[in-house]
Amino acid sequence: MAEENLYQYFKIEAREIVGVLSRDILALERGDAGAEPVARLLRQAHTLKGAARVVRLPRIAEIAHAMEDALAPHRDTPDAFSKEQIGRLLLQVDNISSEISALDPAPPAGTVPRPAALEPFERVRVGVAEMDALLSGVSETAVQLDGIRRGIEVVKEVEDRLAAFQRQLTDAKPGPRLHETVEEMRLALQHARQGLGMRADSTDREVAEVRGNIDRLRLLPTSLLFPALERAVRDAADTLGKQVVFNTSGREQRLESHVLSALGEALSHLVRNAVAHGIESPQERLTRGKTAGGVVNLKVERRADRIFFICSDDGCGINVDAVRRAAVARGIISDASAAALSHAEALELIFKPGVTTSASLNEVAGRGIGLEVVREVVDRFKGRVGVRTEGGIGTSVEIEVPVSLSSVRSILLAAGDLLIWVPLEAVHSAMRLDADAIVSLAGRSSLIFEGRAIPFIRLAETMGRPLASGDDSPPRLAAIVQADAELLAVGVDRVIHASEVIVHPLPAAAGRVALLAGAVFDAQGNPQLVLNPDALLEAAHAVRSQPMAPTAPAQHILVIDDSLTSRLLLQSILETGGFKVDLAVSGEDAMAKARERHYSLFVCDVEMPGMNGFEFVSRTREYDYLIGIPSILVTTRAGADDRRRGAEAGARAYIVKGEFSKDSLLETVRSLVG
Amino acid sequence: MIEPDALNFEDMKKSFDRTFQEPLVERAQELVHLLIVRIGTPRFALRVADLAGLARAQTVAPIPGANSELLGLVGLKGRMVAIYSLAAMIGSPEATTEQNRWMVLCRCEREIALAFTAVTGTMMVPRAELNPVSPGAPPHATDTVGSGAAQLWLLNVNSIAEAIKKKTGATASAEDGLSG
Repeated sequence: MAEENLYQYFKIEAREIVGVLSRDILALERGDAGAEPVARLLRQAHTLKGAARVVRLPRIAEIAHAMEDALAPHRDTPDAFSKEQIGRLLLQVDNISSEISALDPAPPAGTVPRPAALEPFERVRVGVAEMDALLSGVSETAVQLDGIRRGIEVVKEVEDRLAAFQRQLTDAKPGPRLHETVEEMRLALQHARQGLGMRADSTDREVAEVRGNIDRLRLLPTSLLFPALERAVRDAADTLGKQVVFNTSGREQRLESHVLSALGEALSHLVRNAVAHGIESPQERLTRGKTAGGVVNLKVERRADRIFFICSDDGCGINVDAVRRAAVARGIISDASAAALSHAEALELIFKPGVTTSASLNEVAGRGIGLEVVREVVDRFKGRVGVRTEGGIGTSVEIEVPVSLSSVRSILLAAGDLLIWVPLEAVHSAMRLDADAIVSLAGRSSLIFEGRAIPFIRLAETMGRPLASGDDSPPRLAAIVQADAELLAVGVDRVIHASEVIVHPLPAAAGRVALLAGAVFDAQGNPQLVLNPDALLEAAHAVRSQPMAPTAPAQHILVIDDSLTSRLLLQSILETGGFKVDLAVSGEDAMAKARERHYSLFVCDVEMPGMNGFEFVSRTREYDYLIGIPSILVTTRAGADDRRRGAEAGARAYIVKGEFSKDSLLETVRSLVG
Repeated sequence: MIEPDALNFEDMKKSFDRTFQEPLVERAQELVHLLIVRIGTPRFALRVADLAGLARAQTVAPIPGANSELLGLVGLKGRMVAIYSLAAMIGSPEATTEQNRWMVLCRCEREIALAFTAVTGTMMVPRAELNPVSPGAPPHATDTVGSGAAQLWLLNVNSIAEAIKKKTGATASAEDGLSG
């Protein structure tokens, strides 16, 4: 056997084992490795040793053997590993990984080396369970075909009886059993029709499942990246003497292997940068009133036909002036041009080659190469990368790439003759609609949901399906759809079922259709559309803002009031003024919402249970990220002392309920938000 | 000129498929192989060499907000294909009245299919018998075939596909667009 063939399957298996070893050793260090972790590690090392010996790779076999030696004494005492022992085990995993990489042809000169333990997912190894599912689906289809053949035999029998019947008619001597014969034929045909219909439906379902399973085999879970990234964070933190917790979410998202491989490389640079440049040393953090250990979060989420990787940290943020200076020093931009850049434009400079704000070069970062790699990967997939940073609070880098094929758990909704899939993660809930559930508020249809009015739209109408003549009855159900942190009620007739579906992009020749995230094939190979919930929300906003369309993008205002009536009244007035409005029922609720989204203005009641309006406004003055947001107090308290207290707390306007008009409120709001 | 044959669907499909297996016979004999289609009542010709497939129209998923030419999406051999009304693309008044029961897949852009009313046959025409169009011809008509009452417009499928791409901003090649 040629060497390449000899190693072909070994490399696949060995990389899998390296991934498992790396993940389990890190879990061992964290103390959440589950039952018998050392025994599991021993089995993996032993398997690798055996496989390496079969393909005559003694160096890998030796390292695996050394790992077994290190692990065996701790079989019953998994908590007794020292940090140094964990470090040595991880180093052995790295060495094995390097030996495996050495089996590949040498990369062209100048190629940026791939981070350890982050190997491309070039081949897909199909699990026995997945193969069984495929086989079972195909077998079931064969069973259904048998049933269809039996149905055809029944139809044949009926044909024979019909022939006999014809003969009786031809002879013009209808026998005494004529009626019985006709009835038998009718029943036999009915039986055959029902049987064939049932079998056809079952076959449809089985074929759809087989098709989905085959498509799914091409996709890999993003969780495959996480062990290597966790390892990168750990190693960077260890090297720099920092304490870092690495959190991940969105492991269920599945992507094509080549996209996953490339993004893995970019993300490893991002998380290492977060540790090296973002997270402060324990001493610095304590001085700044933070916990000694920092946090790096990696969130993976899908929105429409794009996948987002959001890497955030709670570190010191990026010094934008230092970025300007670094870019000038690298000769990328002149001093004058750098000074003229906005905050956001200057931040973009960190993706330029060689730009780094690091004062010193270390093993982890400082060459200014990492973010250049991120930019290169993002450009390759025609994606986008954005950065947000706040001094002392942290940094968030968001990578967005379009996906050509992805697996999304979705729900199939029916509205009239329209069938459409909605990603399940965007569906908050579904509710039955009473006849009077839909109300008109500020000139648009709304549904009162959990104490607040949310926009209501009919799905069929929004998707351009005309209502049947005279059919203005409200839909029977509302799917409550969440998009961009807002809720929207979508009127439908039925919820059919939920399923994992493979979403294909729309052909480019169909043009850009904002309302759609793609399409899936049904069992017959016909397309069914998949909704883009974000665009649906935009469509709803467009409908309601038509009479008074704002010339600039709508600004978000947070209304804080414990009274439902006041909340809805203020929401209605502000929305007719072209603003987007979120509602909070208390000061505490408002603080939580303000952490999630940037608002242009707070409109706050004074008397509320818990934190009152004065306290809320004062509290907003204590945080860097809130201090620039103006507040208006709207209250029944009209006394001079109250007004003075409001001004002292930092409120920019004080409005007495019952004394203001819609126009005066909007005038005050516009004067504050520009 | 060879008159269109009266063929049933299977014969027509076989004849259509066979043209891709026969090596360059058309060029050697200076014949152009045409598919004759009907849009409402009028008949038009399409070059078989410009087509990647011929199929009966399938279930179409309409796209919200799409322009009137775009009928929607269809699935063809595991691919998502945008299906356009051939009548609408050439500005035919038959666009809104006739059902589209057939479609062809464009060879130059395999995510575009063109739908029309019916297939009436195929014909082989000596290249010399193709005449340039006169003013007043429908958009995308490049030649005429035959004369008098039997005259047909020859529509350029590639030009129609280009117009669609230009309109939708679809610049990726067919292969780029495949998700497999």
